[in-house]
Amino acid sequence: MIFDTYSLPAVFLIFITASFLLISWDWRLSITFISIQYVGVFFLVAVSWPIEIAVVKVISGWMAGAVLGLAMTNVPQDEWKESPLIASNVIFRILAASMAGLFAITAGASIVRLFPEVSTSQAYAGIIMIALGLLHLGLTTKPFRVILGLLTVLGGFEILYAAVESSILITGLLATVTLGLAAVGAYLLTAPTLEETS
Amino acid sequence: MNAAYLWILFPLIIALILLFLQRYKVLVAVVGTIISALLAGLAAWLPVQEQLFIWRWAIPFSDTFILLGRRLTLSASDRPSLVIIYFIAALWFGAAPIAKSGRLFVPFGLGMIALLTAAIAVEPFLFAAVFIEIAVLVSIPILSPPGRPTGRGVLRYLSFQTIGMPFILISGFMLAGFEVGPGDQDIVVIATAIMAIGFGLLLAVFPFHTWIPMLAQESRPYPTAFVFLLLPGAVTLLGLGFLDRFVWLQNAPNTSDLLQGVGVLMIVTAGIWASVERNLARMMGFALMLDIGFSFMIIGLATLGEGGSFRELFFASLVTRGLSLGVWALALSGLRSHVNGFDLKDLKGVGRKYPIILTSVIVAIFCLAGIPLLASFPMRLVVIEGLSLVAPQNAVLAILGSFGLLIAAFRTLSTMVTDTENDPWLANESRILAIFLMIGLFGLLLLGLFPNLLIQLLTDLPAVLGQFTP
Repeated sequence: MIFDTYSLPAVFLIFITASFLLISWDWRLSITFISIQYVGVFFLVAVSWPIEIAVVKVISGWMAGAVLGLAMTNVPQDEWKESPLIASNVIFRILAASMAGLFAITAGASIVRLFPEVSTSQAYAGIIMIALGLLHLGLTTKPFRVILGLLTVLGGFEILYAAVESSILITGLLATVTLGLAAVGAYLLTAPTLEETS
Repeated sequence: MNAAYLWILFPLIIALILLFLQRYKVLVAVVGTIISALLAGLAAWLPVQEQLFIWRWAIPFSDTFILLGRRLTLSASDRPSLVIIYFIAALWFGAAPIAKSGRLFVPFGLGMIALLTAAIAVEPFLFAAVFIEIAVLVSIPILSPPGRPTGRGVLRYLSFQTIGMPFILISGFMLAGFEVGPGDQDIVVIATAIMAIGFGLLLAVFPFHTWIPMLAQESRPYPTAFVFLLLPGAVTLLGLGFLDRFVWLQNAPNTSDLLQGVGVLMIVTAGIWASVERNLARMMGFALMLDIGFSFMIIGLATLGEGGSFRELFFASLVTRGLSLGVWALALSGLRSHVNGFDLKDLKGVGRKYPIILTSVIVAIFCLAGIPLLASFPMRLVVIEGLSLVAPQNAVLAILGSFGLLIAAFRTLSTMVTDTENDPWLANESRILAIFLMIGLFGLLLLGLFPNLLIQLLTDLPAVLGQFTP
């Protein structure tokens, strides 16, 4: 299988993009990273699924990124502009990401033992995304960042779940959840600027 | 014709149309109410057969809809659930204009109802978790309306519900796998732990409960109470689905202890926090937690033996929860434009100006605390009696937790009737609000005085009680 060959590079791609998501302060960079992350998700899901179904993941991920990006362009930039993180914060986040990576290596074997259908690469990538997504959620209260964190966690789960469940309905529903999260994120970003309803 | 078209697709389309008509608030509420009542009526009276005869025409009618290779089935056994869901929706949408619940409430609320109906219909039942998650996403505009900053409670609610869904899906897969090839007991332990975390996140079990009071404080009371009523109810039904599907899990000796333990934890923590809470909206959140705790207790007792009767109690408690929360939230909505906030310090003496609102809030709290003569009391009594036979310490803790909510009620009462400006007692509520509140109060009293009305109704709807047999 061609995708088996690329699964380990995909794990690295996911680790790097998820780590950059933690430290990036520019929303454009963040959306770029999450879009690249979904390419990694696609490669790892394609290990278990036919390519024509696996591609749903990358399309829904990219569409989610596009929705969030469009919303960000409509938000007053003064309100959402983030300043670059200070060096100590960056170092802390990189260390935390590294620890999540190490955790993935140790926990990956347990996942494979519990779910024999899951390959080692899928287990690593899934845990990395879930751990870094949760870390992201723990470090922010901003809607844009919360949605990125949730998309990352959900992406990690989708890699693991793809190995054990191949239902087309669940594929469609999870894609709906991905797009729905992005739509909710876009709404939460723009809602404060909309006219109040009573 | 298909059942899924009628109770899932049709309300979704109507919700979409109402979204475009949101400017006409009263019209939207009226249409939402009529459609919901119509669907509840159809669920009650539409004959369950393969053909529907309308005048001269025979229209084929199926209860199953195939969606991407999986079945959405709304069989005869689901009809009573549909009656209850759409009837409750009709009641809530009917009072929406009075509660000033926002333009988006009815369209998105109807969308939520349709999605939760899909969650009931989908097979395998496990996929219901994803439909519930989509319903959560649909609920966000209700909770965080346009023109208001996004609160932390909404984000936490979204996060916990979204993270909870994968836990449910994974645990369901593991438990199904164990059923096929039993042997490794470790898998059962891990799967149960994953399932417990998943339901803990979705049902706001301590320590994942923080979003409930935060959301109650930040958002408008009426739509928030609507979400508080629907989602935990749907998630608990999903939990019952787990117990129905995995009978060995239902019969496992530790299942009842686990459910009762979680129930006690929720009741005690909610009771303690409610007793010291200074915000009336947050108090509503803690009261909900207490009621969910009692639901856990009921299900825990049901797994011990008399599954049927305790399941009746569970559904009856959902109805009384809906009524109590509705009265409480409607009363708070009526008060919202007259006070600075729902902190007790802002409510000093308010009861003298709005005595019907005061009565409604206090009676609703009393009801959720299980005071005699009110709707929840008969259910609470049976639960406490059941607990006293199997785990007396849990019964004592449950009573203590309820006392916490009672303390909250007395503190609220004391604050709201405190005379600060020598105000005379005068009913300033609008007439329509007063009528709705009086109807709600009458319902709470009626169900408390004649609990058999509700129990008998539920007994006559055997399908609501599912296949959960002792």
